[in-house]
Amino acid sequence: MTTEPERGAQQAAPADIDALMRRVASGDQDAFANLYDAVSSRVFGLIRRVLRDPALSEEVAQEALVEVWRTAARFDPARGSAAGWIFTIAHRRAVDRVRAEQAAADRERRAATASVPFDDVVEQVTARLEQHAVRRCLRALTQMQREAILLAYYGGLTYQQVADRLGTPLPTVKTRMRDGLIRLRDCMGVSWG
Amino acid sequence: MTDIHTLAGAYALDAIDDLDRARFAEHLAGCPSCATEVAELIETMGALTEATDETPPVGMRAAGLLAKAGADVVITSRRMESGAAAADTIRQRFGATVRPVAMPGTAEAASLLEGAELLLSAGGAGIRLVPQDAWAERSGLQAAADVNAVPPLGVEGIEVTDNGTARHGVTVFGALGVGHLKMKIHKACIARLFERNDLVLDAETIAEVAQGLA
Repeated sequence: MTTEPERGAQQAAPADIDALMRRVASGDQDAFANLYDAVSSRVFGLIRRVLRDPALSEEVAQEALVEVWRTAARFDPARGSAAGWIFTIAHRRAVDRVRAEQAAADRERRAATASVPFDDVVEQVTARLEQHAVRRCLRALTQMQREAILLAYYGGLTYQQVADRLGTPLPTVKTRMRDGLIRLRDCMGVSWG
Repeated sequence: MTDIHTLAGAYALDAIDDLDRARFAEHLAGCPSCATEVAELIETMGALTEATDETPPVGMRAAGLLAKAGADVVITSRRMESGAAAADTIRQRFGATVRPVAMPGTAEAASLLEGAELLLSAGGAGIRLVPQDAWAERSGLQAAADVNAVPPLGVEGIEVTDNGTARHGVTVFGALGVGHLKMKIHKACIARLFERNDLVLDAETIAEVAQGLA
């Protein structure tokens, strides 16, 4: 028996996920089983980037996918893809968990020990993404844009916290996030509406 | 464009607190071009998940459940350190002991299978781990399964579609055969989740659900 985690062998096309989502919204449990298979490795991988702890990530991934089922009827295809909507739910759940733990730690006045070891965040995520096609687009960002985006997204930090950590004024951080994401969008050829 | 619009990036990244999020959502409702921009930025971050997808380690899960059920489980890794680390993780997660063994290459597969009743291959996709002559016609070996679907499979001689197929005196399962059973368990688990709102299914509970289906 070997033990290395593996990456999903194949990934469903966004249009397939949209089609499954329409059936899930009408309460089709079989469609949900297929949707789960189509997105769960990406949901789990995203949440684990943020939370790191595998067992906690599994729990939060499950909560996120149950939320997808429960709120499926609220998904509006006019406003974005089903995949984008699902990953937003997953990311939000992970971030909520990080912030709840930060708040608990703050209450117990041991914020320092519980804070995200964020020096690792950018490095680890970049190393992982470097192996993938999106690396070219990430490289097209300025280092400051990349840092602000990855710290916020994978570190679960608010822009205020990112500004604190980097010692950068708030408006600058907001601008780096937005300009960086726009550049990333253009490079990856994402369009909507 | 108002000043609040510069929050579009932070909003798409979930990098805002609840108050800012509510303010920005209100702004979005009255600004169609902003809504389009935000939708595109969210899609962009969603596309990054392609690069971070990950499956919880199948081998560790199976090893932990089997050991907890009383089986004498050996896990192999190329290097002893990673095997020992995996055994540690399994002990913490399942409270069960498994024996790590180094298997530097396929040549060691036959001797490691000495006395084995079950072989599960859950290594990296497209990597051959067990040659056919290591397992075929081996007395005592009852079943072999390979959860990879990318050729070459980990266990030489198993086909992805095998589902309880008899080959060389052993009952074998390929990834699609395993997947067929997995889908049945999966649907049973989903049905279970719909019974209650506060249920989290862990590996042990899912294994019980699976045994209930058998």
